[in-house]
Amino acid sequence: MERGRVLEATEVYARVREVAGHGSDEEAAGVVRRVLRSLARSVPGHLCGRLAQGLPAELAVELEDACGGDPLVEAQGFIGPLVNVMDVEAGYDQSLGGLDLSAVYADDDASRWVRAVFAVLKEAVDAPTRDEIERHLPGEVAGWWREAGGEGA
Amino acid sequence: MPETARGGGAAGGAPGAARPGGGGANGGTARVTPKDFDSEHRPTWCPGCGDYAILTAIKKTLADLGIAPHQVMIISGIGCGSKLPDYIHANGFMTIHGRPLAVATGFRLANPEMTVLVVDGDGDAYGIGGNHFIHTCRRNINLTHIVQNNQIYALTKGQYSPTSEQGFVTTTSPDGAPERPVLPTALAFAAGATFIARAFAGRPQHMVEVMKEAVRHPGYALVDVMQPCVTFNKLNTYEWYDQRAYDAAAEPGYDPADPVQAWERVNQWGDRIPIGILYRTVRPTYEEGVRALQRHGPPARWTERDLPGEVWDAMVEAFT
Ligand SMILES: Cc1ncc(C[n+]2csc(CCOP(=O)(O)OP(=O)(O)O)c2C)c(N)n1
Ligand code: SF4
Ligand SMILES: [Mg+2]
Repeated sequence: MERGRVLEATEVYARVREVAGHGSDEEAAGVVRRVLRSLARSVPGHLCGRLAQGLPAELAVELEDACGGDPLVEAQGFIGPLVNVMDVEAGYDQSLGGLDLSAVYADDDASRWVRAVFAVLKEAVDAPTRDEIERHLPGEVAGWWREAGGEGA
Repeated sequence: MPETARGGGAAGGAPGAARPGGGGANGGTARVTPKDFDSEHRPTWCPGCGDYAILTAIKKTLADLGIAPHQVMIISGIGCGSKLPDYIHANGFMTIHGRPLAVATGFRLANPEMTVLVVDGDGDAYGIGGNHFIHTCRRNINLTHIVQNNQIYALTKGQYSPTSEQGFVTTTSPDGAPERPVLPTALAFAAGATFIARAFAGRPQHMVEVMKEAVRHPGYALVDVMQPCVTFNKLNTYEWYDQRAYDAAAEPGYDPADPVQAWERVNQWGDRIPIGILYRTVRPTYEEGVRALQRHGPPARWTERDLPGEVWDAMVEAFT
């Protein structure tokens, strides 16, 4: 996994769509934007800056607003904005005495989507930056970053 | 060194009276960390729910203030968010829907040494519990009220709530909610609350700072938290809140003690929503006005000697 040329935004969406199984490039674009914003809320400004350099301008801009990182953002807060726009009727709630019939494993979807985006983002930065970003990501999200781009993204 | 929490400060002078400064400082013993509040129960909240950040913020707030699990009572109602006491290792009491403030009032009078947090949803706090809300603001009981305001009845799977936007389509408002929503910060101000704040679950670090000030406040403190319900509220999302929330303290001339400024801020909701401390003043607490507490000390401190024999015997029988 080495750094190559900066991809076009449309290429990023197409790759994420393929791996995550989205129905359209628009859907993939929304996921890419939200993952970038969550990432910006987790990692410090200098890492956002390095990542931005390897991204097309229309995606790099997503890193700007929230940049700086909030160390208290956890894995649930990271995926929240993604789950918020998922087309689901109900999340699972084991307190109801088992899984809801209409339940969707929103966390499985969220994890697959985030990994698909991470796989592309990792190519935009060098190895030391990749490691540094991983250290700032919360809980299991750090593991998704580490594994992304490997088998099955 | 932990930062100091506010005092319980209700019943000084009486036999068995509460130690002023109850809660906090942890008796000068071990350092409190957020991990001390970890519970063995895993939250059943949906992935991505804003309630997770509120739970984390409460643990961090208490740890930063040096309040140990045995020094805090967390009282909730019924709702998704109200399951929180199960997920935190501390004293907890899940009451019935809408009633946590009433129970907390009784608890606080009986045991003013404890730090008391009330945690409930917008339906619980502003709907079925709306009457208790108004009177707790007015009475100025020394407790912190954290409302998980997701603008929906979430536990019951998505009916519109008192804070839902007008026109919001839900199962109980198929043509859109016809009513104007309650604006809790404005209602709290009108009812005489002495500390009114708003936080956003998507900015947990800021939320902790707000909660710490609320717990320190000597009197009733409202922290209305914009809490995305990722499953049933697809209108007021993380992004919706994030685009609108601005830090009131960063505004030029910000003075939370100025009631004229505060009235403007507590009424602001729409394209721009202020977060942070919107109003703060100091007035005597309810506990300070309860003369029986001054005379006899809080019930949690009573011993056999403080009560007539038959009353003591009846209590022992009732509680053993
Ligand atoms: C007296 C009573 N009325 C109604 C209910 C049904 N009920 C349970 S939770 C709830 C609404 C919860 O909404 P909210 O307080 O906003 O909490 P959330 O689930 O959104 O966190 C209702 C109506 C009940 N349990 N008890
Ligand atoms: S239904 Fe909404 S409030 Fe309840 S756990 Fe799920 S996301 Fe949270
Ligand atoms: Mg609610």
